[in-house]
Amino acid sequence: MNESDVLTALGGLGVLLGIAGFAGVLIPGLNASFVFVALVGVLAGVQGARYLIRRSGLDYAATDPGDPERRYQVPVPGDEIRGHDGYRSGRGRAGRRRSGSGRRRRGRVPRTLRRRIEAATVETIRLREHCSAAEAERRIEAGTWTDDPIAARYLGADVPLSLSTRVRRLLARSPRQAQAARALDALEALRNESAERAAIGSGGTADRADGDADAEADGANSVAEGRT
Amino acid sequence: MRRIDTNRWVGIDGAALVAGAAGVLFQRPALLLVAALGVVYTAYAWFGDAPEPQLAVERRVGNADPDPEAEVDVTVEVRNVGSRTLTDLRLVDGVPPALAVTDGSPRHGTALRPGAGTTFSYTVEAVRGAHEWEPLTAITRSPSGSREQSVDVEAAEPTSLSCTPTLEAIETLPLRGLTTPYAGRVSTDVTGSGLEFSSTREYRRGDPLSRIDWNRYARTGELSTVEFRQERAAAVVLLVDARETAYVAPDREHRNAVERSVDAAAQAFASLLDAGDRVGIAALSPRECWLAPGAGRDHRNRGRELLASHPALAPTPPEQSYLSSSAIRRLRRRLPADAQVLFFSPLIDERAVEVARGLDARGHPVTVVSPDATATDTVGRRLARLERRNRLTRLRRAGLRVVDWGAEPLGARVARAERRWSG
Repeated sequence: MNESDVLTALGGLGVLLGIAGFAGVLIPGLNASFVFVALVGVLAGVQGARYLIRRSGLDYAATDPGDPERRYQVPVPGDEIRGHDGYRSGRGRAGRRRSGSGRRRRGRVPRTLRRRIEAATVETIRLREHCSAAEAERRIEAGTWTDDPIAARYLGADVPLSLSTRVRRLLARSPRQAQAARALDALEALRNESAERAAIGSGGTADRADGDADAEADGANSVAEGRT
Repeated sequence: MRRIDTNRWVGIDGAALVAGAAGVLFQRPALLLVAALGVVYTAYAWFGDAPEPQLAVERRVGNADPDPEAEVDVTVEVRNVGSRTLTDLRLVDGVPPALAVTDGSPRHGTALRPGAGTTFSYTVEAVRGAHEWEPLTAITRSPSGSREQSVDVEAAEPTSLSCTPTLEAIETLPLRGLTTPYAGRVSTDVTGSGLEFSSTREYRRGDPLSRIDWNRYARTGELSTVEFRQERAAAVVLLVDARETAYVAPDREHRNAVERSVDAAAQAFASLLDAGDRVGIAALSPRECWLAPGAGRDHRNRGRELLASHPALAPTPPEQSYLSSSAIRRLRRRLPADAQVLFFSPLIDERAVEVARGLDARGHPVTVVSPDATATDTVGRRLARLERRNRLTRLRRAGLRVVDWGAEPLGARVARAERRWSG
């Protein structure tokens, strides 16, 4: 407690004594000492309430030694994608929006879930149809890459929705997440369709379980490979 | 040393003041007694500090060189070498991050008089790698628990555990066409002596008698020589993607992709050496890791040791970031001209694809073995899985061989891929 605190306390005590003295003199029937004690009580109550309010904003603190019993935990791929707006991709890789030309810079990870789904859709269409990225983007804009209007609209296509679909969208708890899931359903269907087509083309059966239906590429690879 | 206020008694002074104020205003002596009790607790919290622990720690490991998945007992003995009694002492041992505790607990709570000691023990499951114990954390508290102090205490002797798996070969490991001039098992288009028939040609003076086609001579009376495909050894570099980004797993129970990659590399190392190929090891990691292609017993032992305990291939990720460009350039300079690459990567980002395609384009045929670390239970995880599958397709379209390795044993997966490649 420094000098100014002591002076403040003495000043406060003087004020209290003064108020109590005046009250005892001016108001008949009131005891000056009772007024003083009551004022001290009121002030103590106010101060106590302040302390209790301060306590409500404090958490119990303790040293956190971690979980030495458990093995080091590594992330699951995709966990760095947290939401639709403004997240940065994980592990310090800076996200990058599209450049002015409308082309995504190679090797950069888009910032939002929607943009990453869009990038994956462009890639899937490009690999399936053997077309350019611009052509794939055109199909996404037109919404012709899927039969699901919700998935198409999620990626920016202007396709009509039925009344019941609109109502369901309004009532959905997290509509953006639900739309993203629909877009992924459509994208997976597109990939599996490509896989089946590739497998039939190479005389085999689609092997969706391990995502290995690009067998024809491997077959062609082994044939084309030169030997020294 | 770290000191913190625990906030355990914050607010008791306020409660005492409120009770006192109510007692005064309503003229209730009982409330004043409650307030007095609050004052006593406030004083109890104010006085007394957390003592600074001065401890001697001795840690013993039951088996410092266990086999993978072996249970290893760890015993920790702690003695109070200070002059103050530690009334509330909590001990947390620094178990290496790659090890899981399977029995007992690395935590212990006790009180220690000066000179007194305590012992606790627990069991860990060994995994591949060299593991160093971290310091034990000792936490003391004041008697009221309002203040806390923690220190890290090193054991008298550093504690380590080294787990080196034996090399187990898989049955077959198909390689691509690039070979060395040495005899081996990779069939080439160069004709000469070998096992696989290639063609017949007109007899030339000096051709060995064993290669003359005597049946044809009997039929036509003309001498001709049988040509075989020459079988040569390959030089293979096993390249493990051990960047921080490659440390991923589909869930908490599974081993991470780098651990699986190193296991696969160990199998490939043994398999290729057994087949007579020259094998080297490298890692995409901020920690330098390189073993030039070679053969022989000493080379096998060096490779086994490197795969087991090199820091670049540790089961936990590196702390520093990956300097990709310089590391890749260094790797390219080191690769022998006739070396092909077996690249082990979860293909979790575009950089891995660029590395594989870059090496392949520079004349080192690349085969990618990709442990699948993706999951499908959230939108983000499903998207990551789709992105990886697109990367696999792009690599295959670019002419690289790709083994997409899920939960099944690597040998079975490679055998399936080989049937496709030779089909």
